[in-house]
Amino acid sequence: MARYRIPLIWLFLLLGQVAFVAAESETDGWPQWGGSKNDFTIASAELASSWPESGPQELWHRELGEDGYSGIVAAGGHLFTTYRQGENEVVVAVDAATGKTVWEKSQAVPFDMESMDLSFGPGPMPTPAIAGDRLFSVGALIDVRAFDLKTGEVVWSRDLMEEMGAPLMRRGFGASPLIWGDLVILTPGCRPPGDDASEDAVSDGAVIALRQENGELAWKSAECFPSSYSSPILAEVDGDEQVMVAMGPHRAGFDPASGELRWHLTLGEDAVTTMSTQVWGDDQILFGSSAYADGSRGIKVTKQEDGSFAAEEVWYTRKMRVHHQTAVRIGDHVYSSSGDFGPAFLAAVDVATGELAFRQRGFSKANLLVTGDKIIILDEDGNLAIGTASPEGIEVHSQAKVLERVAWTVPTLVGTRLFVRDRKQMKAFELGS
Amino acid sequence: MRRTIHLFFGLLVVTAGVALAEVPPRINAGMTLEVPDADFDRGQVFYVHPRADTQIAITSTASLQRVVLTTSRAVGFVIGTFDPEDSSQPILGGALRVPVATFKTGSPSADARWTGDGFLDRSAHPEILFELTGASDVERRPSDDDDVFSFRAKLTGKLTVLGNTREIEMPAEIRFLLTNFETFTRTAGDLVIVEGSFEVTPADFGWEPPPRTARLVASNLTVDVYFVGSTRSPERTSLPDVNLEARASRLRYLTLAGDLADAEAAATHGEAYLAEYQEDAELLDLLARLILEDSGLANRDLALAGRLVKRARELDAESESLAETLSLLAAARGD
Repeated sequence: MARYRIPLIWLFLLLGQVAFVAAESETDGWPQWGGSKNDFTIASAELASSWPESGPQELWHRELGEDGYSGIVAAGGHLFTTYRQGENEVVVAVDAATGKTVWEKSQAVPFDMESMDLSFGPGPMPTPAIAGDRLFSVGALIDVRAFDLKTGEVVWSRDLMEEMGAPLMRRGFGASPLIWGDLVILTPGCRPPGDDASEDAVSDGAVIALRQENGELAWKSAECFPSSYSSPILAEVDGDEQVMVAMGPHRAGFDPASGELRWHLTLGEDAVTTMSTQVWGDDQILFGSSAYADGSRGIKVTKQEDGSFAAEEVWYTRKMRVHHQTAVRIGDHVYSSSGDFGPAFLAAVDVATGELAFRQRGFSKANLLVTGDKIIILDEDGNLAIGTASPEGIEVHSQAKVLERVAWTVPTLVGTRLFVRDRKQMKAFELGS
Repeated sequence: MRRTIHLFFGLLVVTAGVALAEVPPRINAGMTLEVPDADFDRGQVFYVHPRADTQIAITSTASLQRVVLTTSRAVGFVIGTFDPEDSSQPILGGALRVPVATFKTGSPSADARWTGDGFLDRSAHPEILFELTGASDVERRPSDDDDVFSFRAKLTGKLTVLGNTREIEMPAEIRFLLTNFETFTRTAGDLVIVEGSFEVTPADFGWEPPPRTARLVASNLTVDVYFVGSTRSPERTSLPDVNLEARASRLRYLTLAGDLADAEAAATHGEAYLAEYQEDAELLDLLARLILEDSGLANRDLALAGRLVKRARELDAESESLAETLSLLAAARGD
């Protein structure tokens, strides 16, 4: 097993920087991709263990334009998501109690169809993020907008392709923004000079941070990594906060305050297609997974005596291959839906060894969400289920079809209310006991 | 490898009085079979993908003629191990349906003779059936690729030809290929490739060539098989914008008109498609294109294609795709 080490670099810790996720607790909010901790695991909610055969109680449903995979975030009794309507990308605020529109802002985002492949839909894919009284959205062409959470007024906007030379992703940009302190951290990626003979190429800025207040660039990484559909996460390595990314074959950790590289691994070319979000654990093993030609791996990240960081791939297996779904950690195991264009099995691996714990069928490709001792499953065919997970398997207590085909969006749980969407429709369910 | 397989000739066992092969029906679109629920629990289901390989080659070397019948239209599935890396039993079961009308020899008259009355009799027995019952004498083969797991084994099964079933054994090479960017160029999903060869005696299946053709048909036939199975069904698509019902309906048309050569059923189905999607120019155009271009259709229903195009153009007179389809139709008609 190859051992990788980061170059011995300086590490500046910005003392006094108080990192916080400007999030409300999960009982009344869901501030960003993956919830407040980016891990799709939220505080225990009093959910019913099972539902009637007809499914959980539907509170409301509403249409959401023509398309979109963006997740739903929540704060202050409102829900926020994005969709596409014609040539416009729309950010919408919805009353969580009724499903009615509170405000809606539209922006023309025309596509150059010759340079894009929209066979999986035009998106938008990124999930907005909430910090304080602001909402931050990212569109398919990497335009970032900050809204007043209450009114929908656009406070600032940045076009990262135009202004910073971020590369076009031909299926549309996919990674969600990450909130840290007073920053919005983004992974626009980078196209190095000489690649594609682009005059606009830049050699840095794979990861950047914008100030929430005015959109000014706070920092950009010195590294040039390709764009990625995998969203960045926050992790703590021996007391040191880091932004961890999976971009192309690169796995890396950055100082969220300065953008300085903490550690870096370059994997093989099969690892370039990571779309799912990595999962961090207290044992400092970073779980990441790709479908197609790759598999799952555990990367152990540790702080060295000299203050530098070391990263080592401790296991790799092809027996779990996560496409674009969520992976969640419960105890010593990571659970996910393994498979890309063939069947997708619910599966779990031991995060310490990579050993496959189980594989079970019953759902198509599915997103998972964990609350307390329960696991919520929503597969791409719109089947919603609740159950309990253990290394022996997932015991499904109730299951119901709630959405139509292509439900690729991860559900959002706020208290006991679950908000789900497919490409065209959004629904709210009461899951309380 | 081919040479290695042939070393096993002579292992074929044919016994009489065997119950009919248990082969599930085609699913509605016809490109694969209904997999019993229990089989999903037994192992990994690999769907045999038709239309890309020469899946079966039957060679008859008689005193007056050598003929090789080939088809690429077998459909079905193989139940493989969940874990080819560690398993000692690679193949657990499977089933195939081979449409007789799709066998080709390179000569239309020979095609008609070999698949016609007195030979394989496509009208009375439109499909050859094969039930794969298991594997024995399994030997793991070395592989220099971490993503390829190879076995040699003796596959056993029940073969039904002309309504008569016999047990057969086939020495085979079995290779499991985990998906990667190379396999993706063939088809999505993890793959299994089954390659083997065996001999059959037509008389054992009640097949007695007409007297005047006896010297044109060998008393023993060599059957070479090569199947690629994928964990993704050939009827499934990953593209989210595809109208799955309409796509399945078009595949059904191809199955009826091409594989099963049932012109009447195909025409009825085509008319139903026209009625169902009469307000969707794009879907009408797609079936018209298939009728005009699909390589699996020996007889093209130009009248149906014409009605599909006519209605589609009423809906969308400006469509470039429809204009192209119209020109294909004109060429096919000889206009």
